[in-house]
Amino acid sequence: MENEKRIRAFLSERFPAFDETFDRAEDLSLVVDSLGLFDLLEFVEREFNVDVPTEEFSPQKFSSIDRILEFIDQLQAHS
Amino acid sequence: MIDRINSLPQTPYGPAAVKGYDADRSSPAVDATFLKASTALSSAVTGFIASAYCRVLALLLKIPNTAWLTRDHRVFFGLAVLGLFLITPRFLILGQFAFSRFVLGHSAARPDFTGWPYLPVIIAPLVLAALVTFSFGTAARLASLVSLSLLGGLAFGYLDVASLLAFVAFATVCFAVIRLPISRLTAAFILCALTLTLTLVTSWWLAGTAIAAMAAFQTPLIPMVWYSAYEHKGQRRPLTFQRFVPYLYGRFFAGPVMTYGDMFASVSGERLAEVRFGGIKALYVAAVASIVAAGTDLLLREFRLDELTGLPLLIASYAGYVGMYCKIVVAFNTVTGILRLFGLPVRDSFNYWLLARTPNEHWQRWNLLFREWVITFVFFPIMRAKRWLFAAIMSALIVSGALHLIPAAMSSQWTVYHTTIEVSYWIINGLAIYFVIKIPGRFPRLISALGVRDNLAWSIIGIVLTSSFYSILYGMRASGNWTDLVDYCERLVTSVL
Repeated sequence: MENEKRIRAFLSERFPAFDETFDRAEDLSLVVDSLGLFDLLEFVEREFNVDVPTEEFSPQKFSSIDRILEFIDQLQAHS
Repeated sequence: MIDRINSLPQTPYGPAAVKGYDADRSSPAVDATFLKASTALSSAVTGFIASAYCRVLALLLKIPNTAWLTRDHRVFFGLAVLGLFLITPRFLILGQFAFSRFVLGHSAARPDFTGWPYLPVIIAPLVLAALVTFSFGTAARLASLVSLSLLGGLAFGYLDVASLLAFVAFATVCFAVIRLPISRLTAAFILCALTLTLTLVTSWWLAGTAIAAMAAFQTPLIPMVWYSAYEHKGQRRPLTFQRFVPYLYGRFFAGPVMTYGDMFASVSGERLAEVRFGGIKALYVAAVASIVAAGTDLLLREFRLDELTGLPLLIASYAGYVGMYCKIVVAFNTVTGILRLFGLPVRDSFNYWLLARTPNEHWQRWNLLFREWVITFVFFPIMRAKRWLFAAIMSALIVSGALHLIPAAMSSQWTVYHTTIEVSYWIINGLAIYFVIKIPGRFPRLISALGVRDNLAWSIIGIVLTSSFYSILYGMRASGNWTDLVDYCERLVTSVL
């Protein structure tokens, strides 16, 4: 829950098209552009203290809040 | 009987022995118009059947979110009713051809269904097969799909034995390379070289075969074989040959870029029902796009780009742009829809692309799975290593352009002009994307004062400007030489000024 709040706070601040009405499973592909995707990745690495290996990166893993949380869980489990 | 058929007047589609075909209407021009009109409307029927099936399925499986279906259902129903009266001649022509060739052994000319829309001929038997194999297991459904499409392709001349052998040889070599104990990157580059070799071989030595006719769709195989190498080498989804071949097979029918993992993810129960529902939706969208593409083709035959000026020229260019993109939607969504009907969870390739407000958004809505590959393997590594935004954007667009250009460059009609105009197209796109990212950052106060973000009026202006941008680019690409290009620009600009 705490992780979700942090992600939502970042998305609201960085992407004007994002608001609180977004569902956890809702598609973020029109909100987060390619550059935004890169910023989101850096945010995840910095904020959750994880390292995303280049070969693990895929836009699909950042396509919804649910998927981002799942990806963070995976990275934390492996670190 | 054979003598009687041989004595009948011949049409481009065989003997004129079916209702709706008489000797007086056998000139190619009349036949082509007749065929296009009937196929456009029979697409509506296909769409209507798809939407009806979709509703029943949604009701039975209690699947929500059918608002998109209700929205345009009435117009579609009207077209569907009209289409019912016109669908019959097309299938009679097909039936008559099949009967005379395969039952009577008569050498009738193959019906020419190469025009738009071509949807009903391809999907009608496959949708039927999907319903018949509804309760089968995944492997049996996939085997049925591949066998039926092979048989259908061979029967109607979309495929030939030489093409099939070339394809199987290509898939076998790719599979062997992926299994070699080499690094992922090395495997990926060898696979790129193999795909380019396939394009060369089919263009030069297999000219006239089905696989050569599909050469334009071969270089986008690169993302697919690349994904395969990465997925297999990552040990997340080891490849099997019996899955690898059908995975690549769809691409030969101008299918979308897919990942191996998406296509063969295991689905069952309610999720399987949702996947099938998504299949009907994809076919429904393809049917609508098919009608739009046929409509724009007819429109541009009446209102030619080289005869218009000013706003009418811009509108005609818009029609051309929409028509061209709709044809790609038809091809991709047909493959996606059929695969989903057979229970394979393939993702969408488009997201309401006509509503893009900027060139950046256009590429966020268009060919999504190809974009994902470019972002993952071109844009992201450059940004990660050097944070060079301009280089990352331009490299992504140049790689995309190269994959589109290579097959076309094999054509004997290809000239320096074509190369220049195509390269310019991708560079202009890259620059547009870069400036759309950079300009708001340079003028934050102005952007804030104008209220550009989250404002309906600005969204509409954005859609109009982006559509105009791609319409003009379409018009420029449609010009055959430098003189025509200059003439197009002059006619567009002078009238406005």
